Amino acid sequence: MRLKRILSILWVIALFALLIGGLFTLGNGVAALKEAGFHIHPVYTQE
Amino acid sequence: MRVTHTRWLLSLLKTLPVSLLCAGFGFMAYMGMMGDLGYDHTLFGISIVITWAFISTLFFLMVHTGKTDRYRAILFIAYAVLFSIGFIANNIANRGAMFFTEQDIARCEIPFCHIATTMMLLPMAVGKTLLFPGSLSAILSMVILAVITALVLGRGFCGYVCFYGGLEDGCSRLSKKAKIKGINPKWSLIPFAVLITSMLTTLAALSPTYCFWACPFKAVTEYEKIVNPIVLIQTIIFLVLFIGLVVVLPILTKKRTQCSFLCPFGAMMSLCNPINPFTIRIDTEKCTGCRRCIQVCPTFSLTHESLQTGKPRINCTKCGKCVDACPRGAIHYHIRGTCPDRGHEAKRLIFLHAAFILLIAVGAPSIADGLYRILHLIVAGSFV
Repeated sequence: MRLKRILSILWVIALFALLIGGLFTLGNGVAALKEAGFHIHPVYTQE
Repeated sequence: MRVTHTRWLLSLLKTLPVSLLCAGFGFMAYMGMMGDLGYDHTLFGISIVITWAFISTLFFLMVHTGKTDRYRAILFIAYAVLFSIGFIANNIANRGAMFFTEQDIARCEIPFCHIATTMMLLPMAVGKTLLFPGSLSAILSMVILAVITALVLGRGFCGYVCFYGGLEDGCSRLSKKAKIKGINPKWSLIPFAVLITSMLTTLAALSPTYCFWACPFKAVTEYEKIVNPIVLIQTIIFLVLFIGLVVVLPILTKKRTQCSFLCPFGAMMSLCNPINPFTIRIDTEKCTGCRRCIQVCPTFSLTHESLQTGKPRINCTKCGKCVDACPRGAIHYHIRGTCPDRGHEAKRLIFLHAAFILLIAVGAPSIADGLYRILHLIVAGSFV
């Protein structure tokens, strides 16, 4: 029970870190995904 | 007297992180949006200050009074209305009209919203491809935000961050009593079917089918220019769904019917609820079975079974309406794994901080933008 409680607290702290970190590094994440090759389907990019 | 002062001071201190964060995002929005959109400096600055004061005050009241839904609803409804005003005004300013054309689709200039995220996941996972005629950066940002939200809030997104939910939340509060009662909660399984269907049909048709055929919010954001019978049919569907599920049924049932019976994003967030630490718990020993919570729940998340197990269904939006309504104080916010009998207020505050961080990041710029348009209307006589 004690271990479960500690894990819960750590989980909440990790989520807050993810939330704040994610929001402030959103641009980097987008750049990384672009670099990894994510793209709009050609059906929409051929005018 | 001294105790009252100390309580006020404590509430102010608890509000400080959210208030500072809101000020920070307001400053960033001011610096970022001014250059791009060429807004009037003074008016936009005023709208950002009003937004900051509005959000901070409501958060303070939530902390100070211990009530959640009463103040959440004010913020949520204002947010949805201002988002629509800002969105439509921006479309008119940029394109000259609320509608978009086939050229806009071909140029990938269609704004992307979170609901479309559900349809992007399969093509993204299979072939790193996004099936949407929008900006790659905007789509990827929204997908990352959706993943963060799924982990941090689960379906709490639908109660705090969604920029459409406030419209039907507002409509559901217009009537004093529900005219249609006794709807079977099993109907709220429909969104899961909509989610699966829209994901698969999007893959098959290489087109975001839900966005082009079933999104009620096109009525208050943008729609395709009616140039042929197919687009006419699509537009009629959007209007019927909006009037039916966002306006009429919420008034008659006092429930959020679009969220409960249609939204695929809500279904996806519901699936993420079990991995999320925040939840609502019912103290089964304190509960007298008055069923007040079942009556007020806007998303059919509480049933007779919930009163016995102490847990809501997975589609709970954590709006706090049941927490405020329970006459015995038997319902509270809970963090999984912690002791269910202690620290209810602390858990509520931790959840509210998470919810408000996301609300501020996603919603504060929209609120400020909508306010700017209204101020512009007052000062210059037009929204744009």
